[in-house]
Amino acid sequence: MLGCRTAGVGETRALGGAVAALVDVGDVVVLVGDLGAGKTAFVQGFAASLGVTAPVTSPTFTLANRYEGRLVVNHLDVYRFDGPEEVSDLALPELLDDGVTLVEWGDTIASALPSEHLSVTIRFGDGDDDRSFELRGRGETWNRRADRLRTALKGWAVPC
Amino acid sequence: MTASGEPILGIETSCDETAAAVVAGGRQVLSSVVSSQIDLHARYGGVVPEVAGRAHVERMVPVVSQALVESAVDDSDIAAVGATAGPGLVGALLVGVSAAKALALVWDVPFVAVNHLEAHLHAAFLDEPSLELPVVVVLVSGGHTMLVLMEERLRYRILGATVDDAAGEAFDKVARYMGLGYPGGPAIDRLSGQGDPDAVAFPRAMLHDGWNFSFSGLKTSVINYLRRQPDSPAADVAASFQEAVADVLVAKARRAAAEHGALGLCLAGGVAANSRLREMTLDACTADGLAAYLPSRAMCTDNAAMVAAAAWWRLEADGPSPLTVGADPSLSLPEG
Amino acid sequence: MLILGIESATGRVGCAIGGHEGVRSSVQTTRDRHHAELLAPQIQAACSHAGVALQDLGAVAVDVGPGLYTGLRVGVTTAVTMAHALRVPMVAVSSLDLVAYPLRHTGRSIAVVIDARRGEVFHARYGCLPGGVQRLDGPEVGPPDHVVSQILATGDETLVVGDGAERYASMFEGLRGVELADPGFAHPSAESLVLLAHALALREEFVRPDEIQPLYLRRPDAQPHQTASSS
Repeated sequence: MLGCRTAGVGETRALGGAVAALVDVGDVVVLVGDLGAGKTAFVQGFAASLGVTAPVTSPTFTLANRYEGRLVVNHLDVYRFDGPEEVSDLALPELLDDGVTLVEWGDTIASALPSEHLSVTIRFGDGDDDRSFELRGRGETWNRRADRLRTALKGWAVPC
Repeated sequence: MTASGEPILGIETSCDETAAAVVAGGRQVLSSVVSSQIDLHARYGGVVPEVAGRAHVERMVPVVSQALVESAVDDSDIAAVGATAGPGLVGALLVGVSAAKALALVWDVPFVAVNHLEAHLHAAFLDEPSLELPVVVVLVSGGHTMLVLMEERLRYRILGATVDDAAGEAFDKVARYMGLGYPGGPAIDRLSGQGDPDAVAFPRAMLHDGWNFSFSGLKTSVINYLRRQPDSPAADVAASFQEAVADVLVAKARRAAAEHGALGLCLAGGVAANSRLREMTLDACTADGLAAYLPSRAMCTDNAAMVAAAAWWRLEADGPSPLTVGADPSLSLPEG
Repeated sequence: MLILGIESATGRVGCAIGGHEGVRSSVQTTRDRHHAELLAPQIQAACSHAGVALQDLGAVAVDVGPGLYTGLRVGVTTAVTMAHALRVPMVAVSSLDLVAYPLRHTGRSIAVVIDARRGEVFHARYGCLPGGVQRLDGPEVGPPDHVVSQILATGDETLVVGDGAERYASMFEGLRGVELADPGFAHPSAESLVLLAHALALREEFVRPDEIQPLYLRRPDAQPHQTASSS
């Protein structure tokens, strides 16, 4: 488990960009955090680092946005789901094999997501712009990347 | 090509709604059925299964049947079938497109693939047939925020759009954070009536800077304000937030109208129902000598009447769509 | 009775028209993710080749899955909407039955394995009867090694077939008494659909369009897999 801190939305984006350098097709990133924590900002940096030039906007109402970069980036947001039965509308099994998938509020549909994923939890810090991150890789594919992840996020790391 | 006045069936399934409507001559709404607004059980004889979520597959036939029945138009008199092909959620879009093609095949009439954003632009005309172009359209909903210059009925230019959150989403999230219930927009609208819009000076992002919008910072600003001052009067916070959103939307719209010689400002999309936005738009138009087009609530939210209207115009201009057209979740507004 | 069969549950999409004399015409394409673009023109072509109009149809048959969501939605919506507009009844057949059907003369057990993505497969096991197949186990969704265990547990001579069998072929090769069917049989076919549907229609096993529901098989609130170790 990795702990990080950022001060400002720009750093949150940069953190997202650093994580993106380690992903591959089929990877899933679950973003957990309250309203305003910076989940979409993280995805903006993540997508930009994969060469996505289109504006990365919040999928809260569209449910799923798809961007093309070095990989396909699926950006999902299940904030508006009332229950797990709505998950079928996303056609997840077909989507996940497509590229890398990031799911905002993904903890609420955990049973529909692969058990192997990277979970990124964002919390508010002391100042308005401060955020603290907990990154937890689950499964063998993420265990193998633990060291590379630690190195990539060195600049923001805090002991946890 | 249809003779003017002939009825077209429109189908809309781009995201949450399953909707169908019959519109004649691209302007006369004969019926407009939206699944979330009717009791399908009661209307369809109790055979619609209780399904959660969007359930487009299950709702498609009941909604189309209802639209035809209410229009009093016989199947054999429908001149064409249009459906939203994008943008939207691909699994949802596929249902509408598939149903429309199926009907087009059975009835042997043209199929028309419709752009959801273009349909919203046409919605205004259904309430205001005398709308004079060019107008600047402020298309604001939960999923979209864009400024469009509509020069002719089928010729537009996107002037700007949101770079992060849509305005409707900002309303919804602020309302959620404040515990105001769902849907958030109307809840904030109601509460703001009792509050002071100048109580808190929330940031008006990018107000004088280009044509794009940004509402993510405003949302976070409201959240941070409430975290630091949780006892602030909710009505004042709501009113101040609402004021900030409307300010930015109207300021850019009137600047765009001036720069492009538009004759009026037009609101479209779910947020167009917001009373402060409507009031501010009206005031700005009066001050600038512009016409103000404020569609009814029914025409602001997602519906199939606007799809049927857009389908009529596209059919007249471009002819039928090939049956090979699929769903395109990222379809953008065709700019001319 | 003339029946239009619509099949789109897997990577293949197609339709067929037939009646008591068998299949009159069929059009199909195996090309992932283009179902919405292909199906309506295929239906037009099938009618044209068969020399029939849609109004001549007595029923519409559809593959209700299991399979992939997007493809299933295209086929089921198209079929249900057409049947409703034509005011004709429907016949529903599962994709797993359709894959088993053409192999009904094999004399062995048939294990149908359809790719469900996410490292899982939809599967069912069939025995052969005169004129058809009978489902013995399933349908279920789970990892392909469950299918292997099940087959080995029965000890039967088994023919394994389906696009899931192709994808996970290495798990089935070399197992005693198990043979992989020719890849040509991997997908459900609209022709099998029409033949099976005709038999069901003769027995008046119709359903109303509003009774058709895609067979997704996956329960969205299913228990999560055993938690993988975290780093």
